[in-house]
Amino acid sequence: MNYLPQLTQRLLTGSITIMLAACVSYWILSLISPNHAAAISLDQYLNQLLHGDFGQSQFYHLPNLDLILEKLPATFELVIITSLIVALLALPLGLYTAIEPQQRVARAVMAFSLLGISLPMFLTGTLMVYLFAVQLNWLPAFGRGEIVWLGSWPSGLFTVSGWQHIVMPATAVSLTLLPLFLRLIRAELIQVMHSNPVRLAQAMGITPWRIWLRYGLRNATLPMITMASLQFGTLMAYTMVAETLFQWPGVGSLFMQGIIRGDGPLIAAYLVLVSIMFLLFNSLTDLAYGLFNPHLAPWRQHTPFIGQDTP
Amino acid sequence: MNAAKYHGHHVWRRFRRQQLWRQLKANKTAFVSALILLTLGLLALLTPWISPFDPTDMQQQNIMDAELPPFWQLGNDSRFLLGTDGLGRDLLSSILYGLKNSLWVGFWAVILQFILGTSLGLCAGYFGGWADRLIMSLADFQLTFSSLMLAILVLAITRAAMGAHDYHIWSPWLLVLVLGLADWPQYARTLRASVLAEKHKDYIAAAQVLGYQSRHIMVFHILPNTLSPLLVIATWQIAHVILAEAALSFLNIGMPYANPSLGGLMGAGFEYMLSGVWWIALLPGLALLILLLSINLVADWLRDALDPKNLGQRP
Amino acid sequence: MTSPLLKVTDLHVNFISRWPNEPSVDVLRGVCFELNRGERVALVGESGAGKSLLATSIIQLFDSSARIRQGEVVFEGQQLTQLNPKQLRKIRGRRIGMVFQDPMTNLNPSLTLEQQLLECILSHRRISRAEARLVALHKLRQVHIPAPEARLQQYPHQLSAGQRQRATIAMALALEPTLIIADEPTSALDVTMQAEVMSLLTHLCHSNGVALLWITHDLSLVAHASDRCLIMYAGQIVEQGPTTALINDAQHPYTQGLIKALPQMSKPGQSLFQIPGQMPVVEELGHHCAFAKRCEFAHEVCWQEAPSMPQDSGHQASCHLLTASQTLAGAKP
Repeated sequence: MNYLPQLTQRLLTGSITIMLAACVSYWILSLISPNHAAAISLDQYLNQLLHGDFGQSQFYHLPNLDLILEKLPATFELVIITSLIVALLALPLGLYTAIEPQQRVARAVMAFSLLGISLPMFLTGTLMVYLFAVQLNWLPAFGRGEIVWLGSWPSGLFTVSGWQHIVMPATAVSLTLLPLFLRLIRAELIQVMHSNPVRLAQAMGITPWRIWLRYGLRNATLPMITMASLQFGTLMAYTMVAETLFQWPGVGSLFMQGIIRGDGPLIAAYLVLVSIMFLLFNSLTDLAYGLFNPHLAPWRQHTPFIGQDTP
Repeated sequence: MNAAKYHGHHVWRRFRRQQLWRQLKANKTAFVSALILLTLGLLALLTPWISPFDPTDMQQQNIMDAELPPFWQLGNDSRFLLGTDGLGRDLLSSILYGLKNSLWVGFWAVILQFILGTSLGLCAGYFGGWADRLIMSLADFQLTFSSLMLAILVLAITRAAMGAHDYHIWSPWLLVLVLGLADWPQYARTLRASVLAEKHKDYIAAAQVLGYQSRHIMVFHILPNTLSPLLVIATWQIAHVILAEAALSFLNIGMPYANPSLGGLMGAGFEYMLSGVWWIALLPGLALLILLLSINLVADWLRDALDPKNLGQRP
Repeated sequence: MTSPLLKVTDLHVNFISRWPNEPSVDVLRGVCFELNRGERVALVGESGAGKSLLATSIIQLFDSSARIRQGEVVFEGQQLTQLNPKQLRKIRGRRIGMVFQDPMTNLNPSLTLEQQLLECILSHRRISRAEARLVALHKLRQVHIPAPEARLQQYPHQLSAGQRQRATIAMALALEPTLIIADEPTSALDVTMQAEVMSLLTHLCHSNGVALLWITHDLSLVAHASDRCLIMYAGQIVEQGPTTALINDAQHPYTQGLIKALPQMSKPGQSLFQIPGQMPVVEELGHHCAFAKRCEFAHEVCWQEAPSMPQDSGHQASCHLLTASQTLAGAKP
């Protein structure tokens, strides 16, 4: 397939976006640390960025890029584990509540998902810390635990204490997204089950399991990708809150500390890197869409799904 | 304006046909939630009069009263029903004021979002062309970053730029502004979709032929037919904004500590909780939970009640 | 006399109300008919008469809150109403095939023809994929789809409307059932396609000895293509009998009205006949003749009690005027 024109267009819009983000970050630098901004002009700043120099932190006196890259693995692992929890729980639970809505367990799950939307992540986090750390003393309240170096990547996933430390933050954040995905999968499955192709399949005597998997889950995948891309920003936001609450040493808490200290260069560098990250993620989801590319139009109505970009 | 009264009357008639009151009474969960919400709203409104203390008044605070537990625990002081926080402020009063502030921010931010989102959505849908493209790309951009993330970034940077002290003077208004500006895309998108659907219907062509101005057609002909989903979004957004405000206050970039907020109390109380003083963090959390839960339940009910498929059915 | 392939007796179907205090009203009210092997039967009625509901009730494929309140459905000697879902599944597709109205919305748009056909075949028969593929190819040829090997790899939207409907007919025939229920199979096609698909379906059923229950709202369509005809009104079968006899000598006022309303029956320049009024909604039905409101021959008795339903397979209609012919000299039903 001819991807070239699409690819060049993406690269072009991407570069312009990052350029704009860099200009904005320069402006913000001038707001927070005016003397730093006065020492360097806009084109010098942009030039430095192009060469990979993201400036130096006012507080730490170390290159911003190094500081951020040092903390990035922690945030990355937290995000990965959170997403895994959501994916591993939402699919089976969504399937189950769609198939057997009347069962007690299914109703409990639905009631819980309703509660989950109203539960602020920091309240769950606080409760978890109080219960498991202060009262029961089962899990640690802050930090990352022991880490193991895989090349230059510090990972906390290979030690018991690492897992003990990541359990609470990841669960707290996943509980904000889980109800959403659960309801989405359930709604999609129910909608599919009332569609004409499913009726024909049932008239042909195809077993329910095949129908659920082949017709149901298959058609739920695209809206899941859409939802995931819409929720990415929210996931980032809550990861930041979690990092503050659990004192998780990631880029989010680095940013918040920079804010409190008024560390302009660090904040500016963080903004540019966040823009790059969002851009990459968007391209990834577009790619995933392209891979799937199913012909699903006939049985999808595009009614706006309430609760689409929410906590 | 005769036209306005005429159309207003029609919208009201259609609204009444849905028999919302009867539907509300039939659904027990929604009814109870609505009652709780009403109670909380009333408490918030009457707070300056019914609150035992004024937490914004430094004179009333005595550091010696700090960290007293609520009435069911040992060592409490009968003056402070739910205990006191680290500065000696009565927690019950702080929670009441926090409720008031949350609802205040929620209300005004949603009004801002609603007006902004509706106007932009109407324009995008009705006029199409470059206005549509511009508005929609802006909406997409904001949706990619999510309102909470944008709010955190903007407010955090504002705080860093202004310094903590100045920031906290302006923060309530900044909160309303930022949260209002952050979430308009939802309204705009929904409305745009509805407008695009309605635009091609005959009654719009009739109105255009009769010479009505575009603005008039948009507001009086199209908007009433597309109002229901917007109302549901607005109700649901109140909870969203309150949640966002609480999260921002928790992170210390929301309401100032002097003017209590439920999230702020939780944030400040976290440290104390680690040493066993749990009420400063958890009791406001409970209040927040009840508030959010009741709003969400009412919003869910409203969505089902206003569903056009249910129009005309007896409850 | 051999027992009929399908025998429906006193079938009542209602919908479970979502409001607990509301009593549920029957939508199908005492339907009785029989179908023999290889017979082609047309089920004719207006929209809302309950035809599609009857079709889905036979195989119990309810998608909303409909359920069989009372009555029997006996197919090949088995009481379908007493089977559990697993046993029902064995019958659906294998013994009873279905063809629905709009092939575009009924075929799964994200599966190729091969995937859909094979899924259907392999659900019921333990044969290898290659064998199933041969069966599928054979069936596609039977429905006159050109270049079937190529077609198998295509998606539904790549076929024309006529080809899609033929493909669904191939799917219905794939497992060689003894009965096919076709719910308005040609209504979504244009006129030229209609004739082709219709003759194809009736021909295939005839040559394979498959019974056909053809549901339609258009009496003229089935006049030549069915052995017997059932006329449905407001959830009941008001007249049934051999097609020629029914058309030439309709007994029930409704059937007479339907025939009079056919465009072929009016002379040039004459305005087309219409049966006045509309079919009663569910709430208006009661212990009286459902057609009384629109009937030009309605008498007092029609409003007081419901006429008896036709029970056997001769030419019968349910109308008071038939049973009380001696008291109504001059009236002509």
